[in-house]
Amino acid sequence: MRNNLKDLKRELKAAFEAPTPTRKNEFINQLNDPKARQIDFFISQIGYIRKRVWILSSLLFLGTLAGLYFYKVSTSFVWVLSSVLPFIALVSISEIVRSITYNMEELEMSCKYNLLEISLARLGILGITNFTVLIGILLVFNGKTDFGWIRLGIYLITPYLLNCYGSLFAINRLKSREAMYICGGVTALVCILSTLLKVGINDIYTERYLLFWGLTFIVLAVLSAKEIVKLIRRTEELEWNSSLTA
Amino acid sequence: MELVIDRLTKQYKNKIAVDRISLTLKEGVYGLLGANGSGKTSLMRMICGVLKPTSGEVKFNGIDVSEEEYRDSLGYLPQNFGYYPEFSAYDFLLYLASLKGLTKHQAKLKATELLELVGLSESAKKKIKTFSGGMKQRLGIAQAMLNDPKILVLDEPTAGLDPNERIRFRNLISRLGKDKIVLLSTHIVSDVEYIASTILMMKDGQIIHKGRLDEIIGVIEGKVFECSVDSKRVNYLIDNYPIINIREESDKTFLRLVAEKPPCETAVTVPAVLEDLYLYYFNEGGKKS
Repeated sequence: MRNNLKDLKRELKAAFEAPTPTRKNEFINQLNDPKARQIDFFISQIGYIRKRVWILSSLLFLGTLAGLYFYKVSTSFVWVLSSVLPFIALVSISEIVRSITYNMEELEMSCKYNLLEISLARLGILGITNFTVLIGILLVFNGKTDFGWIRLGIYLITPYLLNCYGSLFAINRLKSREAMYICGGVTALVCILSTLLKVGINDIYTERYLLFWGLTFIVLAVLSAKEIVKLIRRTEELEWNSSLTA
Repeated sequence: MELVIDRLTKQYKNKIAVDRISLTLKEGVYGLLGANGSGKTSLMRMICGVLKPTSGEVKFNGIDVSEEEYRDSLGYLPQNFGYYPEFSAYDFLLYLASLKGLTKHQAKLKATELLELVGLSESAKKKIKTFSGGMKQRLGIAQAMLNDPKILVLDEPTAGLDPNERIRFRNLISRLGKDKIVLLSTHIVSDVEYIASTILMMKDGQIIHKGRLDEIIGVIEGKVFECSVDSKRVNYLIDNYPIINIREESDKTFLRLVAEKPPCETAVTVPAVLEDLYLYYFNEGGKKS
């Protein structure tokens, strides 16, 4: 029966030439295709975060676990970890400003979910990822150091924040894609600075310097937040280029 | 369907890029013609909401340019656009489809259909960085049409296309103009001449002419002359009239120029074309008779 129908269809196709569709577009336009929701857009953006972000985040977390398994926790361990975290900040920032780096911002600004929403989505995804990694690290450190959670968090996050602020400062002021190279330089500087502090001030992780760490943490958090706001404002409008009307 | 541009102005420090432009655009193809620096790109960017106007407004069917609903009806091809280096043509379209609010299923169908339409089906999986300028431009045209826009804004769409591609593109745009507002800018006069139902001529941030081809050419109809003159006369004519074309011939020089009355005894009036009008306004700072 089914084969008969198939044969009939084939014979009909062969016997009559299908007329050219008229008003096809009008008909298609009448159909209300379901649109993707905001949450679908957000989820779709996760797939566009480059693999290196996930790889680096996983390596850092697994490296911490391995380090804790093989070595005794010391201030050097905390120092190493706090020097690696700025690299997570670097790959995250490079991801957030990717549109500007690759000259995609004009196209993205004109889309339904525009550059502002794309940047916020990326910021949200990477913020959650970085926060999860940090919380994960703090959890595995639980009970293995003399430092409390807050103190350990401050030691680990302060270099990360310094890198965030330095990189965002450069990106917000430099218009070229070369800003990312400057960010790489900032990350290297933060690592060197962290090393110099550890080597130069042997008791940098003692209570004597707790106020210094606390204040630095707060100042850098405020400055980084300000730079993020500046970056978000930048995504709302394309910067006017005087060469266009030269 | 109506795109209303009301007293749109863009000023940057002392430079006025767009100067109080008011227009109402309905379905059809509009060709924006002007020299480099006349304000075409600034105007288009404001229509696409990527540049905020100093004053004035842009509305489509009453929806402001800053609203998501407006952008949902918009397709835009910027003059220069980049791409993420790891993207193939297909990935690029899927990514932009996600930003335009298409579901995954729709995105795949539309990307395949548009790649076919712009002749890039065979290169769909190739990295964009391996593409020629023309292929990149065709991909740009495809992405602009992903959401089946009601307003299609194309900034220099034929740049980088070879003659065959340009003809294909013109035909495609002509068809699209039936149920969309298509605004395209170019300084390639023939593109506008062939496909635009309405021509907008822009100079110093203002629309100096707007109308159908025959209306717009009417400004210089009967004022375009051709003549062949000797070398003594050539310099006089060059100094005193806007010259459209000069061609050296064996013993004389052929000139096509614009003048109120015959510039010399041998001059004959010829039918004006859009290029004459364009060069009349934009040649050597717009020297007019």
